[in-house]
Amino acid sequence: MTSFQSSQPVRLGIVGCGAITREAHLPVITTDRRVEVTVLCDRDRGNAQLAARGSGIEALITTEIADLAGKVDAAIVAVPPRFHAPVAIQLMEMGIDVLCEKPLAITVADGRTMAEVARRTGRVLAVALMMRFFPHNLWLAELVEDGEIGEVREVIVEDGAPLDWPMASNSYFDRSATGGGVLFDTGVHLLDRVLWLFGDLANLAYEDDSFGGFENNAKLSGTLNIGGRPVPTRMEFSWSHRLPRSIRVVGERGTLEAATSDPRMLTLHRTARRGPMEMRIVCARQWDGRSHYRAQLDDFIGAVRERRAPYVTAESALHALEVIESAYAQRTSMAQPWLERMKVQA
Amino acid sequence: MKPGKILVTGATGFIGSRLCELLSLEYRLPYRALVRQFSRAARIARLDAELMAGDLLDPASLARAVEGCDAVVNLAHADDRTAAKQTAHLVDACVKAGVRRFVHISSMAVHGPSPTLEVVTEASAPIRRWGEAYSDAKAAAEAVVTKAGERGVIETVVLRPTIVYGPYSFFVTPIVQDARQGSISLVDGGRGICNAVYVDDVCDAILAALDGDDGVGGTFLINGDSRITWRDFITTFATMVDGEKVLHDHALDDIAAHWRAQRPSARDSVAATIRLAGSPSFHAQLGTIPPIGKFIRGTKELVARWITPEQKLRMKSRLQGGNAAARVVEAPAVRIPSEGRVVREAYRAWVSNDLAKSRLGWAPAHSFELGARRTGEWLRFARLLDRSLRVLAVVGVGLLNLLGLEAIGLAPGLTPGAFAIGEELALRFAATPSSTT
Repeated sequence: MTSFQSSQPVRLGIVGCGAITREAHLPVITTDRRVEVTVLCDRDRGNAQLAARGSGIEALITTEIADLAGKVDAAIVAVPPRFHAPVAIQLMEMGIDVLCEKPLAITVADGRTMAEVARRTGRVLAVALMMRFFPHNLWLAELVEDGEIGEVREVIVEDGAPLDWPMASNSYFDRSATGGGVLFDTGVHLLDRVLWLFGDLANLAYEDDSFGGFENNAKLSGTLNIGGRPVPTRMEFSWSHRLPRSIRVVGERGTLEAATSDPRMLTLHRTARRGPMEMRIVCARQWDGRSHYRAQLDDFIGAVRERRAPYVTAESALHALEVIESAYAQRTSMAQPWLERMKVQA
Repeated sequence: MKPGKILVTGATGFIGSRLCELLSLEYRLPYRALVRQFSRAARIARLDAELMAGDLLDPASLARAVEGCDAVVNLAHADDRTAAKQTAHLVDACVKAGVRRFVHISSMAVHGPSPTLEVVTEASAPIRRWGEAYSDAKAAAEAVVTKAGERGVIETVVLRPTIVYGPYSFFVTPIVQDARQGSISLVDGGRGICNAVYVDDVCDAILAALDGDDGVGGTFLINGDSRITWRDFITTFATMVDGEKVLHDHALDDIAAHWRAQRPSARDSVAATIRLAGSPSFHAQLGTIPPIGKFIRGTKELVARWITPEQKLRMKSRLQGGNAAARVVEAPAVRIPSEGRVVREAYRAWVSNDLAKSRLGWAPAHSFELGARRTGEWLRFARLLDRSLRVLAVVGVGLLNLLGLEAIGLAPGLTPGAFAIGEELALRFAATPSSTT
């Protein structure tokens, strides 16, 4: 088992130096003296060089994962999802702790193998579902549990905007690189939080707009068990158009809304005698665009140094993956009436 | 000819995406979609289609793209400056690979912004340099194709669609967005002729140009059959949004006076310089110089520690374009139509589709009423008719996930300041080198 002196920085490798690494991970890593990036690895050397230049890091640039051996204590895995399992497993077998990008894997079986390897090798395997660190999450669960909105009637989860992720290749839309469309890539964040806060989703139904490719629009429904009662739950995700980005828990005495755009706040919507009112519940004083990445890094460094479980374990991340896999298995087609022109004309 | 395999360029665009849907789901013809920016390919990625990376400015990628194809549909038009060069690259690649048919999608714009004819036909309307970038670029690109056809090195068909509308149309969504804010805007009473053609009808014309042989060597205007004005077009979509709206009719003289008053002044130059200094894309470029990059990052982190997110956002907003909240107050209540829109909606000629009907064996299947109904179905699906969901800025979902709080205020109940922030994020990512994770 590795032990760390608190004065000694954790030597960090990054495997996969694309946009998420450059825009999200590196800006918080480079300002944290407890970590030192020693290796940047990418199958495209240019990506690693760009990451090094952009963040002012002097690290070994390599295309080979084996080069991390002996040079890093921990690594961030930010390669396309299909490669999460083989890369993370290889690293853990090399004695390296891993913070793996979401979704954990493209199949539940792969995810379970990763968790098993982490257990066997005694490595930390954290999952970068960074929205779990949002301050309003636990407030939402506790206020619901405390009966603030009374009996829960419905849970509505929505997240949508035109996809505009900077991508240099077709890995987003390549079955050999990823496992699905908007549900798998975007939906996983909110789905994971709902399952984490309120437990399993039963009676699953699912529809999407794909025609043998990657869905742009997905609708998932089921039943959560909240307060001992079944609560109808619907989730909608879109890569084609804007939807509110929030979790809304509708109760008999109001609705609690956790908007992704403001993780510090919860909003309580209630109808008072004078009409509709909104109450802002401050869940954290300070929270900026990097705070959840800082919190994630803090937790990972703590887990590595203290040899403890991370905040987001592989086992807990598997729940969302199980629902996604089950949804895809029972997929039905979403109505897109404007496409069916012959029927309209007929 | 019955195409064996078709290469579609511009496949991620408005017409290209719909063509891919029809090729996959209805025409059932094998094709390959050429993709320059995969971030725009989500819609066609729904299909079980072959997506190939390529760029019309990269001849090597075109050689790979046309391999095994006997027909090409060229819908690409990345920018006016290089349009002819790009088309020439594609034609060369096709000729070298022995592609048999080249269907080129041009535009009615080649006939200029305001024809004096009552009816525009292929024979009667002139094509010359109009001094208008888009018209001239489309004409130059079209000429490259026509010349190749005349040399007999490839079979060519050129299509000149008119105002193409339908789901995802950029002619429709601004109307609906205005209506959601309670306004309908017309130019000159909306009296201009709207030569509207439904996107599926354009795709059918492309199929006819691929399938039949009678159109080879020809150039065809592709228009719908419904004679409507811009008032009809605009009010049809605007009234799909519930609630009261105020009609704003912009007289041509008023618009001209407004644009004259908008000529840049020295004060604008100073403001532009300040905006540049605060621009994330400028910072991104500066940041590629290691010591400066380190300094910028250090300063930003230092500042970020001492201010609240709201202060940070306000600062950013001011750097990007003045005090956002104040700007909204100062802005005119009604947006003055852009010059491009005025040219389009002051059109006074009807565009004939007779030649296409007779030689391509094609006819538009959608009346405006039917096309509008179908478009409305999509608008409803995309929640664009929902007045409670106010959408002022379009920022990618992955980007929002990544930056979290920086996108504050983009949720329902959007604040005016958030619009500037949304724009800033979009700009910032446009300047970020692409990569995958």
